Amino acid sequence: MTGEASERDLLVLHWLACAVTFAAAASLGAPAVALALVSLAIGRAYSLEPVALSYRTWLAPVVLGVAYVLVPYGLGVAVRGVALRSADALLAGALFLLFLARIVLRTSVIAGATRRKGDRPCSCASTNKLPAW
Amino acid sequence: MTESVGAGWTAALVFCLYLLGLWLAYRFGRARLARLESEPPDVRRVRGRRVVLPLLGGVYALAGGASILGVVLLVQAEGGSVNEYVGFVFSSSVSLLVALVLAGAGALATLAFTDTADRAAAIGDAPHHVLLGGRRLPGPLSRALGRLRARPDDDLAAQGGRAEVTRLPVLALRMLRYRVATMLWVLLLLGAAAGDGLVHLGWSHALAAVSLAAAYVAATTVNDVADRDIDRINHTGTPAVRS
Repeated sequence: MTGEASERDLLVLHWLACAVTFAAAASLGAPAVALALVSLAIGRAYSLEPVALSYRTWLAPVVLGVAYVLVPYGLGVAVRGVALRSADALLAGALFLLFLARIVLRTSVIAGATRRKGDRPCSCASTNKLPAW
Repeated sequence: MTESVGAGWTAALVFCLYLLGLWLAYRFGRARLARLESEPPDVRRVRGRRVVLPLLGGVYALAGGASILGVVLLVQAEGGSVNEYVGFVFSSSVSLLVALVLAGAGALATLAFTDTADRAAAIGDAPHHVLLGGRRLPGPLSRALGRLRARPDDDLAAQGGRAEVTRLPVLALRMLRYRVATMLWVLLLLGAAAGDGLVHLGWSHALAAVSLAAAYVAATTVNDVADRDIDRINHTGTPAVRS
């Protein structure tokens, strides 16, 4: 923790970012707005109670895959302005599985390192940050 | 140039040139920074930046020029029309995409070198020893101390006892981790390009990219607030939270 920002700074930035997300998506049409709302909802549900996805080991990777892969890809399709094709579903599904494999591997590596250090095994506290790819 | 084999050779040539450019930048930068060790910290930092940034710029310009020359020669060798090829590249949105990707790659490489230079200057060690820890203090603090941020500077106190301030746009950039942002934008472009290819880049693509980036910033900010107690123990690199 570098102490660059206060909690208030981060909350202000959070709500500003929500507004920007919504405003930018609104100019792209209803599908984009729906995807943006999904993305924002997952972002909040990941960290905040009562859902707190970051503490749900089996559910978090799947939901993050939606936010990190399906939402961006879907937004690209929405920008394209053409209906979803079967090839899109195939490619997006493959990318989703790739992401899932990557994030599960990352989580298991962190859990292993935590265990080797003698901390609590598979501690949620060590893996609940939003993952960097 | 229509043949995929020719395009493949061109891509390989450009890749090799950039690889060579980065390797040269690394070699020259490392040698130069090692010589800066004996100077005072401030002088080292300024001179390090003066050396590394122009060096990288020059290497990229050289590599870019050589790659363009290589493409032109390759097109001529295959009996194609240089004017037609160059016209296509510079009249389509592909050129914008290529420029963006190259600028991004250059910026990331520069960032890596300047960060290394900063850390080397602050710790007082050669770049190849930075990861093993410096031989002399001061190095960066591992976490915020008092009301100062953790970073490799020689600050003693903030003026008036106030906390250091980070402007919101800067904070937004910090919260938008570039590796994730790059992945999100690539997936966006994949979705936009699937099927008929990405012929034009327009405002809609930019707005979608902004929307994705902002959604990720919203997620990381709320995550840092929610995890503030855990981060005080586990994570030293997150900006939050100063009390």
